[in-house]
Amino acid sequence: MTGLAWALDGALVLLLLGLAARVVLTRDLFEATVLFIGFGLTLSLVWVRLGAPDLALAEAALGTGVTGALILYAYRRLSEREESWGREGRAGARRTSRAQPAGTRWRRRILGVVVGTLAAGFAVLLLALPGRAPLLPSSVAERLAETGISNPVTGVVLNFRAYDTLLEVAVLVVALVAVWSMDRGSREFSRLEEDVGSDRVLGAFTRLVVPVVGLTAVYLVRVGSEAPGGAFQAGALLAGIGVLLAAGGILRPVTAEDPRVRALAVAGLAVVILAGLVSQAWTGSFLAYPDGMAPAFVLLMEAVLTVSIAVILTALFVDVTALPESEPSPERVDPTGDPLGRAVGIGGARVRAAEEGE
Amino acid sequence: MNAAILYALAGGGLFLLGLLGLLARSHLFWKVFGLNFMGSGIFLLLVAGAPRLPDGGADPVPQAMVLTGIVVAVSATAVALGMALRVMSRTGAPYLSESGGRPDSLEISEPEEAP
Repeated sequence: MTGLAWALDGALVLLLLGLAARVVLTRDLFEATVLFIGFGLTLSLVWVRLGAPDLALAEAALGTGVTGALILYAYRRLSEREESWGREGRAGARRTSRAQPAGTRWRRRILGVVVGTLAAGFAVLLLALPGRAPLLPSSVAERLAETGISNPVTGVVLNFRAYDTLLEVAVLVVALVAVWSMDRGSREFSRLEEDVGSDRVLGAFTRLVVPVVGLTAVYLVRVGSEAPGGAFQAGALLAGIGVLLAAGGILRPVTAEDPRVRALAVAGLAVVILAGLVSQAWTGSFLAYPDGMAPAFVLLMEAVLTVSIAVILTALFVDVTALPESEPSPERVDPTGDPLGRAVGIGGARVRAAEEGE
Repeated sequence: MNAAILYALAGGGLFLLGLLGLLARSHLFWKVFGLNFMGSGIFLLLVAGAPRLPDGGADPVPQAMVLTGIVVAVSATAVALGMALRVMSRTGAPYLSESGGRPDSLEISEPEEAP
C-alpha cells in the first residue's frame, strides 16, 4: 500500500513539474493555456493528497476554473488581434536558428546559474528542516472547542486570523477597482458575443449545472463551520456559475456605473468591518467575538462574503475579457473630456486629443 | 522523509520554474503564467513544508493562509491579464516596450540593430 502511495505521489509531482516546465518553455500560447488548466487540476489533486480538501475545492474552482477561463478568453482576444502572437510556434522556430548575440547567451547562462543555485539551496534547506512537533495546530485544536466551530480551517480564517479575511476582501475590492479603471471610463464595453439561445449544448449544460452548483455552494456555506467548506470555496463555485453565465451571454459586462454590482462587491468588506466594530464595542477588541457568539458571527460573515466574493470574481472575469479593443476617443469616454478630469476645461476634450496626436 | 517533503521540494521547483518563466520570457502572458507558478510553489511549500499533524492531516494555519492566497492570486491574475490586454491595445504587441516589442529573449534573439 505504501509503495502504491509513493508511486502516486511521485507521479503527481512529476506531472506537476512537467506541466509547469512545458508551459514555461513552449512557444504556443494555446498549448500553454490548456496545459496551465491541466496544471491547476493536478495541483488540486496534490492538495487532496496533502489532506487539505478546502484547498482542493478552492484550487479546482478558482485556480483552474476562473483563472483558466480568464486566460482562455484573453488568449482569444490575443489571437484575434494578431494570429502570429497567439501561435508563435512556426515563426519563432524559424527565427531560433539565427545566430544569437553574445549578450543573450551570457544572460541565459547567468539566469541558469542563478536558478540552479537557488534550486540547490532550496533542496538543502528543506531536507535539513528539523522534524519538530507542530506547535500551531495544537494551540488551534485547544482553543477551537471554545469557539463552537469544528472545522479548523474555517476557525482560523474567520476567527483566529479574521484580519487575513478582512484584508483579503479589501484586496479583491481593490482588484475590481483596478480592472474598472482600466476601461478608461468607456461606457461601452465590447460584448461577449456567444448567445446561449443559439448554442444548444451550452444552453443545456448551463440549465443543468447552474442549479446543482448553486445548491452545492449553499451547502458549503452551511457546513463550513463543521466540515470542509466555507465562504471562499462557496464563493469560488458561485463565481464559476457567473463565468458560465457570462460565457453563455446571459450576464453582460458591467461598468462601475452599476450601483447594484458596486454594493454587492463591497458588502463583504463592509460586513467584516461591521463585525469588527460590533465586537470592538462588545468585547473591547477588534474582531474578537463575544463568548458563544462566534458561530453566529462566522455564519453571517460567510453568507455575505460568499455573495461578495462571487460577484467580485465574476465581475473580474467579465470585465477583463470585455476590456475595449482600442483606446476610446476622449469624446466617447466622456462628453466633457477626460473622465479623470485632467484636461477638462474649455475645449478640454480637444486639448487631450491634440496631446495624444503628437 | 515522507511524501510531504517530496511535495515541498516540488513546491521549490515550481517556484524556480515560475521565476524562469517570469525572467526569461518577454511575452506578458508567460510572465503571468510564471507568477502563478511562483505563487503555487509558495503555497505548496507553506502547506507541505509545515510539520504534519499526528493524524497525518495538514496544519490548518498554513491551509487558511493558502486559502486566502489562492483567492488573491486569482484577482491578481485578472488585473495582470487586464493590464496585458491594455498594453496590447495600446502598443499593438503583447510585450513591454523594453524588449523592443519582439518575442522572446529565451529562444529568440534580441532585437537586432538596424543593418
